[in-house]
Amino acid sequence: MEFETLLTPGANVLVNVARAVLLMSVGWVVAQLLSRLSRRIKDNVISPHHKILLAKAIFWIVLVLFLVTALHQLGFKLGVLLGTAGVLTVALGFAAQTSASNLISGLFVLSEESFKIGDIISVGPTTGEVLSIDLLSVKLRTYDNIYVRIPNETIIKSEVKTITKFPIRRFDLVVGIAYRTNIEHARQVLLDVARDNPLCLDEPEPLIILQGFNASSIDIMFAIWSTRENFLALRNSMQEEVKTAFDRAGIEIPFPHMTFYTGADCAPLPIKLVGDTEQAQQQDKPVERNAGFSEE
Amino acid sequence: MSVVFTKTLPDAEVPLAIGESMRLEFGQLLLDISHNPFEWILRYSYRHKQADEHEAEHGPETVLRYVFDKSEQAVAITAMLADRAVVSRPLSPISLMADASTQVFISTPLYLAVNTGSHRMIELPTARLSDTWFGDKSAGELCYSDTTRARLDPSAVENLYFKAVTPVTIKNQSHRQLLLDRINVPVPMLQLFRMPAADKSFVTTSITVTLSETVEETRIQLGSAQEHRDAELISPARKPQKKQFLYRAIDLFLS
Repeated sequence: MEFETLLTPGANVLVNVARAVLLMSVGWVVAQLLSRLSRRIKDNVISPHHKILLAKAIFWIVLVLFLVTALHQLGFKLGVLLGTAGVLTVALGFAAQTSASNLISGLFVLSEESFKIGDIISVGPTTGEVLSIDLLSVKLRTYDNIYVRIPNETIIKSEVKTITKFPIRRFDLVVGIAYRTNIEHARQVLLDVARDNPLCLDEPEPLIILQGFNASSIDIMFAIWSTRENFLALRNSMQEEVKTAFDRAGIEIPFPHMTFYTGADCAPLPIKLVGDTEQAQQQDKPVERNAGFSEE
Repeated sequence: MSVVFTKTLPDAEVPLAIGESMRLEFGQLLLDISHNPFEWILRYSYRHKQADEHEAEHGPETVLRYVFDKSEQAVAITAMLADRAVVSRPLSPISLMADASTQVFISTPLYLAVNTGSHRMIELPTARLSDTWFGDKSAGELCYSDTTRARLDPSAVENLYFKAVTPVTIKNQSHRQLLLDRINVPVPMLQLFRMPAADKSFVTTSITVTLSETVEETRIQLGSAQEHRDAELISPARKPQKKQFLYRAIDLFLS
């Protein structure tokens, strides 16, 4: 005689519920255990990014298997459940279009591998370190230590810059020199600054491009390379060193200025000052002042 | 008491009791080591490249403290080769004719390791080395950059006490002229020796590059310790020889 036949129907339900709860508890523990075990796979076998994905997949698959078994234990029929799940999926699909879109975008983000956990990326105005790549969103920590969640749909639709993808980076410094400056001299001073800065890579060689004749200056683009770890330090030190070297070499970095020209004969501009006018009116005598670059 | 070593390295451990210090001037490096209760204090700076040796104009000083619960009463200074490959540019490019071979002597700056007992406190280059990138911008290797006179006559090689000389034999077995405008010396894979002669100069294991018509047939071989039988082995290779590295180096030689 089976154990269940000895119990009342109410007690039977209780036993089944207890079994289902036990199954779910065991399932939770087994899923956690297998998931953690998968994280121990060495990095040379599978990338850290894929390891996290594998761990999540194992956890959910194992848990769903135990959930199905638990539901079966409670007397639910699997076929009916799957049919209901199909209808529910369609209903949820309409109700949660955004989440579904993020979910599908997430699969593309994961498979594309444009960036990995630990990379620094820029998405629109946000730049930060990738903390996790999940099915619905990517989580970033910005430089000012703010936690940012970016939906995967946004990632797929936007331009994403992976700043730490390549080991070296170029810093472009645009500097203006006065028109009277000898360009070759300025070029040599810039190359000397690059040579003396230990953070600046010798190769790829520094690049100097004359960008054009601006309103107040001749603009030069000075492009130098560093490792991505030294990029910020190079950007800071290089600007300071260029300014110091230009000052030492007597090269002027001009600020925008404007010259007033009053005509072919360059006649002086008559200026009437209110205070003086009143005084002149009192004395019945006009006052004229010459215009110049500055009023002294 | 303060001990000073200029342009030379101590042959053995330097005994330094608590309260004592030593100074080492080697290459561009100026290093002061002080022994205080429970700690060693290291101060170092680099002389500017262009500065005259007598008018020592040094850069900013770095101070490091190493704390021990029970410190040894001596420090040892050991010469080593650099921890990265050195890309050396001849002052003027060299063209090696087809079916010709030559041996060039390239010197690279030494590193110094400061040890107390079995503890290594720091490794310092004896000259300020600038970084350079070798290979593709997306997957290359960070190296040090240096210039060389690439002497062909061993007797003409200057004895720079803070540099080690690497003999590089290049055999051009192809039918085209080879332009050598830069040479990658894989110093982390080389052993460092000290010659017994009076000058006690530093040498490394040699490199032989045999260039053929195709990259696949080109070979690079590193010499063995047997070639410097009379010399004293100062420091073993930092890294084992890797086939992958050799192929990358070949790319450089053919560039």
